[in-house]
Amino acid sequence: MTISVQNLTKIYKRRLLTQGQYSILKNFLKPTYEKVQALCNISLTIGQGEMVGLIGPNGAGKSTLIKILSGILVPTSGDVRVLEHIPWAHNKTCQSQISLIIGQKTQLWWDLPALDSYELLKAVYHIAANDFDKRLARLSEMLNVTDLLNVPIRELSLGERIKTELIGGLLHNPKIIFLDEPTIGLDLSAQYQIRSFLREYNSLTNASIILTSHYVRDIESVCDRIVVLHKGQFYYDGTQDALSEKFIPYKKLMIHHQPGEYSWRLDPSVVNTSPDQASAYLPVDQVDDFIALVVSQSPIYEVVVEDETLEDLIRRIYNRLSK
Amino acid sequence: MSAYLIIIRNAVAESASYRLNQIVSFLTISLPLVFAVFLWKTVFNQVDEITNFDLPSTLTYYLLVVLLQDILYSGVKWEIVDDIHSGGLTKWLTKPISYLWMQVSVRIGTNIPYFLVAFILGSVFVFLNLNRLVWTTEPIRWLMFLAAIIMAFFLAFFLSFGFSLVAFWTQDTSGIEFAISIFLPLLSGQILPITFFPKEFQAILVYLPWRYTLDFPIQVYLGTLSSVQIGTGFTVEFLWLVALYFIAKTLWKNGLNIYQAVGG
Repeated sequence: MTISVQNLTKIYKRRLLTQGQYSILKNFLKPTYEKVQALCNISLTIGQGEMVGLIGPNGAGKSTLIKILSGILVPTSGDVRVLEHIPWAHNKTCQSQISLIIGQKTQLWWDLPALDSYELLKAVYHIAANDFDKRLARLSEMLNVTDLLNVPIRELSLGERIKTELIGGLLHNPKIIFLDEPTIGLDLSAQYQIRSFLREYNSLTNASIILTSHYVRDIESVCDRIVVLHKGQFYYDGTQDALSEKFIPYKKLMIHHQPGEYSWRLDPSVVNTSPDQASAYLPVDQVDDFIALVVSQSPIYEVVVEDETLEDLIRRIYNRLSK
Repeated sequence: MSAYLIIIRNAVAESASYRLNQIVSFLTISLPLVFAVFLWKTVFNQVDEITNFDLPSTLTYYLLVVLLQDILYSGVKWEIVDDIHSGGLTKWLTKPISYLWMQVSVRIGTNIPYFLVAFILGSVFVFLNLNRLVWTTEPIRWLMFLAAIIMAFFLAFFLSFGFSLVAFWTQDTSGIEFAISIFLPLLSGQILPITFFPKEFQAILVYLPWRYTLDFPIQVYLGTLSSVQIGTGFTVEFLWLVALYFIAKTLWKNGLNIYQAVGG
């Protein structure tokens, strides 16, 4: 197994500042802390070439898990092996085969062109000159940034910067790539390019990709396997298809009808967008009965039935989790 | 080329991209040198010698302080504190490279452009005060000076690294920074040569590490120390160097255990 996690727990200590009289003195003399459980006894395995999407509401533990797997954080308890090494022991063999790319953090030298940072990475990872030249040419062509490698990072747009970050993270041909919100803040076109690139890169190199993102389209396009985290525990771990099977599938109905007051428009699942248009979001087994009710009460111009998107499904799961 | 040499090269390039900053910062810190010339000329008009310093050795002392004080700075480095507090360490922890030696390389690299500017402006000062400065032609003294400077560089770095790592345990290092900014100029000899202080105070300072970051190498160059004082100095400096290296390594190891990688 490329990654093996057994009974992993991570507890943070968070400082609390008390309010009220003499609070400054109290906070100084007797600081109080609370324990925050970021991950709670989780286990998983990830094989070579797998593309796994970690999703969950804010504070679910996604970034903590990625940081432990990439060796940045030390867990409170549990056993973790990445390419058979303990990641936080910072073994050089292991570090040479992984990569962590964080969308909101630059890993390249801010005031220098990307090429200067790549030269450093070439030395850090002992990449042969020939391999370096070939990989750099291929990656910069795939991401369409060949002309930007001599421009200081600070002068690039966010999308261009993320692309140069991706190249920096992949020059050493890692076996495992951890991506934390790689498309955050990017426009739709740049998001699409990054997703396509990741899929293509995986098919070319068989690298494992572990991705967290709040953009469901990232997960949907890139990952075959989805892990839903909630309050530090796994809520779901399986394929995209199995996810919608596990949670009874829903359908989206768009109804264009003759204006009027009908009892079905008062149903909690219905959103009335205008006097002659409404939409409904229903479990698949209730759709036929609902359409029959609508047709029996109101003259209909058109009813469009659509499958629930992954984004809708995940929103539904989050809503259920928050209750 | 080794990764650390490339870091030095990149740090030089990055630092040189702020040329105006280099010149302004040098001019700012060299201003006290101009005052020192006026002050000590007045003082040495009244007396011939203070301890074993005369006007040329005193002026040379302050010239060397200005040239060396930045590269031998032993206070908190905000870049390291920021790396710890804002999660900037993250990018280095996943790579097969030592953060400590990376920071050593960055310090060398960022100081090279500064040193070049300092060297040019220092040469102007030397030219204007040629007959009032100490110039040694003894190779052994140059060798000892060079050895003391190299040791002082690492000593200052480990002090600086150790103080900065306190950021693992506290959200606010400004108290430490303030205390250091008050005591460091005094303890390192930046304000006055250590031998100007009362004997009791000197007796304590020779066993503290800070004196070896400025006063000691400069006095080795000036020849104002006896052979016994030089021998004792190198020994104490070496012991501090070894101790501070291990302290820095221990702080680093323990700090990583509680590092939270906030903000990515």
